[in-house]
Amino acid sequence: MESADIAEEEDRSSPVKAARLSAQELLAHRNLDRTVPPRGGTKDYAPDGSQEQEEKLQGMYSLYRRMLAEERVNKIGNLSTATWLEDLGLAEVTVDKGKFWHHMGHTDEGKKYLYPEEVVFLMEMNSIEVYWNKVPLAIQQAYAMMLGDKVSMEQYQVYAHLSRLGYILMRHQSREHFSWYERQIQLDEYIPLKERIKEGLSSQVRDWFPSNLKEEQASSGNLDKTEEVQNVHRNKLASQESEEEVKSASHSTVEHSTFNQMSDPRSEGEKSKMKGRSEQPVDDEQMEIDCENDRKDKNEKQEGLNSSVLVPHEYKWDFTNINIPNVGQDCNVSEIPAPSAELLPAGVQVNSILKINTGAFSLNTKKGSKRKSNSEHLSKIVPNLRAEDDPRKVSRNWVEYKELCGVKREVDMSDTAVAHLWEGDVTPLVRPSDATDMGTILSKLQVIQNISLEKECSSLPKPDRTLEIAYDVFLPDSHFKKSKPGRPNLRVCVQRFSDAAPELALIVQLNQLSSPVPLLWAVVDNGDISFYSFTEADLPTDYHM
Amino acid sequence: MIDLYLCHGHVYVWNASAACELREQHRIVGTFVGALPRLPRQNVRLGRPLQLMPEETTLLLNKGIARLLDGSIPPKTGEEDLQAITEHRKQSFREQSEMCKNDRKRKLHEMASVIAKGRAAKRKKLAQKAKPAEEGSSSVSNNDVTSSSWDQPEEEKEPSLSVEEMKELEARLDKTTGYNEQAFLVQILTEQVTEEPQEAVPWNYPTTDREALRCQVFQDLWEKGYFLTSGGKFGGDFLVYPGDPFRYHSFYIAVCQHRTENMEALDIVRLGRLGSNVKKTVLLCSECESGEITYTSLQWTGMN
Repeated sequence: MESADIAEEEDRSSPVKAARLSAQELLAHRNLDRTVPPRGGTKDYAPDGSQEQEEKLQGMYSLYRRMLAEERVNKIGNLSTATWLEDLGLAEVTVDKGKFWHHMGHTDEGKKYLYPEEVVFLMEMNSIEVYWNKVPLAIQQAYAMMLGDKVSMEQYQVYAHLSRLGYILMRHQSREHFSWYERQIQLDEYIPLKERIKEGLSSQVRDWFPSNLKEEQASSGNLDKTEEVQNVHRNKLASQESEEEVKSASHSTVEHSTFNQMSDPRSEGEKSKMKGRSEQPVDDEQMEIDCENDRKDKNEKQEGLNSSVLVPHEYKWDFTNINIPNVGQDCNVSEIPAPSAELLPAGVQVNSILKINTGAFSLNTKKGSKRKSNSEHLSKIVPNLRAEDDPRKVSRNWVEYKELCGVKREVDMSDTAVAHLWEGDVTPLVRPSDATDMGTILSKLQVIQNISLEKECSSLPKPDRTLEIAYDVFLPDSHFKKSKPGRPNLRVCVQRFSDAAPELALIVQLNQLSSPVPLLWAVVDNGDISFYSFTEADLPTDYHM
Repeated sequence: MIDLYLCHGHVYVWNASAACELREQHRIVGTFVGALPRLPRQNVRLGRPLQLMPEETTLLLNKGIARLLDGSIPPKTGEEDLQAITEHRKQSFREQSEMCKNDRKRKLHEMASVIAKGRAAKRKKLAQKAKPAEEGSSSVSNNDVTSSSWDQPEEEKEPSLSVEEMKELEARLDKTTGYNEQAFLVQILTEQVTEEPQEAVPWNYPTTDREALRCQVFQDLWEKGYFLTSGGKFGGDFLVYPGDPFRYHSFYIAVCQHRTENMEALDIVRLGRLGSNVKKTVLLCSECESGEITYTSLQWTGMN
């Protein structure tokens, strides 16, 4: 385009026509007024047609006309550049200037990428120029091309709203990759997610929003589909990994000790080879600890076969090939109240709280030897169990203990004047023996128990729809590291105002996923954002004594 | 005709004067959702684009004030377009350097007396301090004219520069060519630049009865001269303002309610409480059989 043409274009740039700024206008933008009139101020009650009101209003209008017409102008030297890659749905950063890289973007195979919401936000912040097929994009085009698909407009608006306030937002890193145990001890804050999802990070991140998953599959055909299935599979495996690691760690120690017990003296080198062997992918049968002799033989055989190839320290476990039953996942821990000491023989000491893992021993039930060792173990702790010698009436086993308990209860009752109350079918909730303190009595009287939603959401029906937490929000911090973000200060779900309110099950599910980090619901009402949160309230119990 | 752009189900106004016109002439407020270029990192005042409610869009289209265009047409990437963009940028750089030069010249004239004073002072100093090193500072960098001219030993005792000196300095300024490309200004376009005419696209709102009622209520109140914004934050459909929301508080919370729809007493109490709590009047808006909109206001009365 010739310069004359440009001049012409500017001339006819009527108010409704967009145009690139001339050099003069560009330079004029250097001296912009950077102040923003404060919001609010005193409003009038109603228009009364007075001159004063009209002037105020016109002042406001002219200010807005000026403010809105301003364009984003920056020196080339201050601008980063990026290229929009439609196929990936990401922008590749080609020139990186400024500080945004501290808390935005990610790298994949040495290339720097930005998510759509990050790119559009940076464009709005006047700090990046984005090209698409060598054409610099306008923000209007960026909205159309980058948003709406993977990142909904609402999500972007929430992202931009919080980012403008200075918060650091990262896409929610699902903690499903971490076991419940790891989350409890906050291990998930120290292990980067990357290590968890060793492969397919970019593709996993791209499939961030499940709602679009189907569309994508439909559009990109079967190839993607299989890839995704694989990914899901991999992720599942990754989530089990931790538990397995713990388990296998205990295995190797057991094995180690058995080797030590073994009579035939082995050289140190061979032992280390044995250890290396034990860390190899082994099939199910080998993972069981019983039949040690068998195992020894097998090991020796395989060692003979493999010793030339083995490099023990460099080997990594490939969990995709090991089929290990998941022992610990559904384990319920139930607490048993301590048995009353007066019914137990002397010398029996009971831990104050007995915890029993129910269902966790399914794998171990095969082994008779283990049980035997259990009883041996017990006999060590309790040297003399001579119930017969005890002058009191004590129990020798659990059957007797239970019987005695029954007797004791009846005895208790017969002592009191209210024993007759227990004669019928309907009996009182509170026994005289319960009258130790107010709390016990109140808890006995509480027929309908409160449940904690956080802990016992299993009783709720499965939510009809799934919703992902959108963003992890961090307070602005100069020490923030995107590779190790730590625990977020907030998590945000994004909802439209017209969407149905989330059901209880969904709220509980997401709260549980997010716990202990508070979860905010950003509700977008046509560009207007309000934040809500659901918190569980405990009703106080009154003690009037 | 004002251009509205449909983008992923939302309607945006990207042009600044169009957005102002909507508000000032047509009482359509909308919501600004973009960052303000002059101060982008704040949420107090936002900038383009202006997002419109579906009801606002329907009204504007019905009244023939605006037309709806497809906002998702990708930019043209033809050879000519690329050329035009690069040419525009080059031209802009040329003009910028020219303007920079002129700016410098203007400054030079403004600062002439200061330069002359400085030179005189320097000469004095040099003469006093050391006679042997008279022609010491002869290294002149072409880029920085002003500072190099300070080092130039010149004629004596003139508080202002002579015409020759001035010309010499200007000539030197003219010679400077190597402006750092990184210092040039570029614009990140907010609104896309399109030359060719675009076809209007259809707008599918309202589709349900409820949406239809909302649109009717919106249009009716708008025609009565009110300003309306979304009432989500107040638990209603719209907030109704007697004048521009910049300057006035809203009077009413409009709640759309179908004529035949049942309403519980509890709902009425709820709405009444809400209205009295925020010092607004709740308007129940329904459509008559004749098609007119009727308004029922709720007022909380305490009886002593």
